[in-house]
Amino acid sequence: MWLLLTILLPLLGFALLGLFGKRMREPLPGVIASLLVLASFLLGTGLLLAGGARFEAEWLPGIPFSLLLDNLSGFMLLIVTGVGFLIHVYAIGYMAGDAGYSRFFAYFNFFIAMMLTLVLADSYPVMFIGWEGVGLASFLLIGFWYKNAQYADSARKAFIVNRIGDLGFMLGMAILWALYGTLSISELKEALEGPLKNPSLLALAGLLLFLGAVGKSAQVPLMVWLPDAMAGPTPVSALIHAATMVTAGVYLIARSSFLYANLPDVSYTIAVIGLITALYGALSAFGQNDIKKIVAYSTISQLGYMFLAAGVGAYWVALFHVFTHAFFKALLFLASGSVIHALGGEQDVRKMGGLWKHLPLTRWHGLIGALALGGLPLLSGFWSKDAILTATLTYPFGGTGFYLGALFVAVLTAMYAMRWFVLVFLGEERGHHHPHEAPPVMLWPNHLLALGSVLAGYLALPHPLPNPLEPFLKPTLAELEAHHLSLGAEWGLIALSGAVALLGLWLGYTFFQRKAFPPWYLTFEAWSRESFFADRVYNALIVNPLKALAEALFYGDGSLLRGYFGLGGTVRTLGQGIARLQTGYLRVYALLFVLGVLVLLGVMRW
Amino acid sequence: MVVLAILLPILFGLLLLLGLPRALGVLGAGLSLLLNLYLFLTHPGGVAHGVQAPLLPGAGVYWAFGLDGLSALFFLTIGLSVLLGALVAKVEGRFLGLALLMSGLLLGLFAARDLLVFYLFFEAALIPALLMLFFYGGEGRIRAIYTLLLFTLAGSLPMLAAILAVKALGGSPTFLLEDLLAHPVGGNAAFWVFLGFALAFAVKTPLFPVHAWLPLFHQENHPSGLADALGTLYKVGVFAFFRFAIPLAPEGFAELQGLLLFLAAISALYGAWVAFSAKDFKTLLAYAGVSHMGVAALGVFSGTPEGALGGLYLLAASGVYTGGLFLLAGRLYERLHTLEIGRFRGLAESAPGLSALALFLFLAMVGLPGLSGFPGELMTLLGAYKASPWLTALAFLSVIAGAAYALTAFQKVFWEGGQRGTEDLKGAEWPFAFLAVAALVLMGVFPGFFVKGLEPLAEAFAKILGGGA
Repeated sequence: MWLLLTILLPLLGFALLGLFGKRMREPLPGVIASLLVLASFLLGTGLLLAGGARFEAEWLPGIPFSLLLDNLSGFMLLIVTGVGFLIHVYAIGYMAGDAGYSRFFAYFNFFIAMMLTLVLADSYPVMFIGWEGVGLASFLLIGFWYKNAQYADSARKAFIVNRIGDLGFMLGMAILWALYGTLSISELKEALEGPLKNPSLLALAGLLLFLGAVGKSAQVPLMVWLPDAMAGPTPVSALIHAATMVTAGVYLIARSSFLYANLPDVSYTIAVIGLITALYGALSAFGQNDIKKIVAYSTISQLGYMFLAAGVGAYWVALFHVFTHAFFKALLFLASGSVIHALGGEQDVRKMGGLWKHLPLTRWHGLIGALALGGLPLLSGFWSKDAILTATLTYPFGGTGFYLGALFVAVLTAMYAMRWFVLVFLGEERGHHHPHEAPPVMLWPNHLLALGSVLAGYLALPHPLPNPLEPFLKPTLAELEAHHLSLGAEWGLIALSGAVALLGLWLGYTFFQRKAFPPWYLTFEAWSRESFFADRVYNALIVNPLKALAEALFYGDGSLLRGYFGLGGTVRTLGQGIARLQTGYLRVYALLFVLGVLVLLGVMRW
Repeated sequence: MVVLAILLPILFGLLLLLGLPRALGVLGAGLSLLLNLYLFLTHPGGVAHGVQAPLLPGAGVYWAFGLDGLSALFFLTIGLSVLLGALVAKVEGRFLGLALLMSGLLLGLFAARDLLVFYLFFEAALIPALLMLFFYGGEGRIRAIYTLLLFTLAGSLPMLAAILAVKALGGSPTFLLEDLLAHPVGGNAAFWVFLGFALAFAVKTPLFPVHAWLPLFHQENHPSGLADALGTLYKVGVFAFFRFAIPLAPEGFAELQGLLLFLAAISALYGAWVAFSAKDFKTLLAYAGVSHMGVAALGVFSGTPEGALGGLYLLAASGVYTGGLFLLAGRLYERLHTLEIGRFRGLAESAPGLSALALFLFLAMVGLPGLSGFPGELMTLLGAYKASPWLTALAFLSVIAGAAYALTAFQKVFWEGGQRGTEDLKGAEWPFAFLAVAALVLMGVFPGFFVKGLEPLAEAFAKILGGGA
């Protein structure tokens, strides 16, 4: 019951603010919403310390509403409510003065409630409630400024693209139900311990569930909605489209690790998709000029890393990256938000620059965020990314190709992270603004996130240094035997990845301070700006044909009715024709009789 | 009790037809819902409140009514939908009278325990529907009436033949449901008997390609949406397949199951796809209805307990949300005198309450978990997959198409910039919104409570077809 309360508290906030928020004065809605998330965080922490919890209630025949707080879901709960609380507080300042202030916090609380449902679910349908619920919250918040038709389009696109993945999720559930007669995760886990019933069908189920993850976590080929999702207010981008919701796909794979550990081919596919996405996101980040879109593409890329880790079987490593990423990516977004706020709504990096001297605190947030993303040794991003790199070599579904690919992406990441930082904070001022530093209510969350971005990595240091995270998560994840590298090899690799990150950071730092770029780079940049034309290709090949077909069907359906009436007319004409056959001549009847018999005989033989 | 529940709206309907004021109709609808709610809540399981009186005992026809878990659920949703309509549809008393009359006949249809009595109500409910269309419809109503009649008659006559054949060939002494079930038709005849039923019920599902009457029916009906809401409740095909056609001639069904699953899957996808191109609210909802009924039919045709339960629950839920959306369209029409989707824009700013209500209804329609459309959809999916994985995948593509048409319509009407302002919820629209949202949420969050009475029926249904647990 207490466990249910962690979900009900933010849901109560949603109901309360949705119904009465308009009558409250600022910042009361924001304070209520933040406190409820904090309460949920504290309650969750308490339950986790008490050893976890379970909740079950009747829902559908054969499908109870079951929740489970174990180490894995507890870990996610802490991220969701912890980082979520900080971003709520930040939004109190960021959203100040907005006409939809209380509506914003109502949606924000709704999101937290749904995300907790997703995380705590102990059965796939319950997880699906949260899964679609966060999708709805995302839709409502991307379209928060709904009067802008483009923003509204972005919101709709996000929901529809996600639904493609959701269909995969649903069909995956249908297969599991048909095979095992249950959709409870705990029960399926037990059922899968024995020999597999129908390995190829099970693999299909795994692939379909992964399709759901691909949609929710914006992996190739369903990545197109996330950059557009930046239409929402910046705290939304930080909470939903960076720290929590988009990592739900990774969580799904980790939660289902008992399934994927049995499916090497599917796992391999996941790793390949992850690596492709990591590369695609990184390459697309270079050409972006919107301060948030750079960060958005980096999110796509980092999510790719997480799937790479999950694909090779290093589930806990994937979650480790979820954890560190939540801090530094939320920080990057919120620092971007402070910049946008300081510049009165400006989002184009070409009109920024030189903010180093104007924003004495935010500049450090931006620097720490960018360095953590770029993998500067000793910061959080370095440790988790390094863990992924190592995992591609030590885990059973890994391989050297994955390692080299991921290493290459690491260089790119460091470079575009520096590009972001250089264009925003360094060089000369290109805009005509009067920047002002953010208020304390926005600065303090960032201080804490910056602290997290530095320290989060120390939760799981490489062998032989302390690593409390792995044993904490291990009991909830499938066991895959990873072979250990020798100490020398392991630390050699760490040194290599550190060197690579430093190289990338230095390259980015120097290259993007240039006044002019070589022609090859400009060509690349042009492609990158259009994110390699994915949107246009989809529109031309899929969206527009489907729309045209809808029009065609619509008009076709209109003529269907005319067709029926036409048929009626034909019957009448036919009837008149037959009437004319009634000539009264016996020989005609005889002929018809014979013909009829022949037809009947034909039918019967056939 | 059941007879009272059926007669109550009929009586109020007749009183209104005699010219008594509209307010009395709202009272009648409210009382009817309360009574139906009472019947649902106190339902003991099995067939409750059975009554039986001879009608034509020589021919084996009895006035037989009773309330099983399925009927009780539909009593509740019909009562609710009618009250929703009575609350907000600003129509004259006689119109509401016809609606009440029709709702009573529909209740009779759902409670009938005698095949001929069912037939009687099934056909009788058409009369108020036609009258509403005739007296209050739009310019093209004559064509719509003509079409509706033609499709209905094309189905009804074979059905009558099938009804007579069921008793004669099966050897049942009466038309009572339990007698007929004890004497199912077998062999070659089963195919023809089932086909006779199938045509009538497919028209009333409606299944592709005999759905063609539906868009016209909705387009030409009164813009208040009252007649459309009742028309939505009249889509009883899925129920009738489940209760009569399939159990009475299971062998016939078995021969046609593949085709029916195929048509249901096509209806689901086709309806959603076409809805995307609809230019006005009613056309959109008409095709959306085709899509949902396709999914519901898929569940029942799967012959599995999950599928049947899911399909029926979806049918019950869709009566409320589709009806609610038609009524909402009526509210928009009253404010802005158009139903064309492209001509609203940006209403959320001036009418946030209306916008929130619309979003709830639309989301329930596209099966968002937590609202009433999802449980039925999920159970249908789980059952239908067992019957035909590929057709299920095909049908459930409508999940994507559904999001596309629903959110596009919502965005066009309530989002985006627009100069058009309008009034927010007012007067009787508040209880309307409250009741509708409460129903959507309760049916979505506690489906187990609502389907309890359905479970044994779905199991028995699957057993007749040789499956089930």
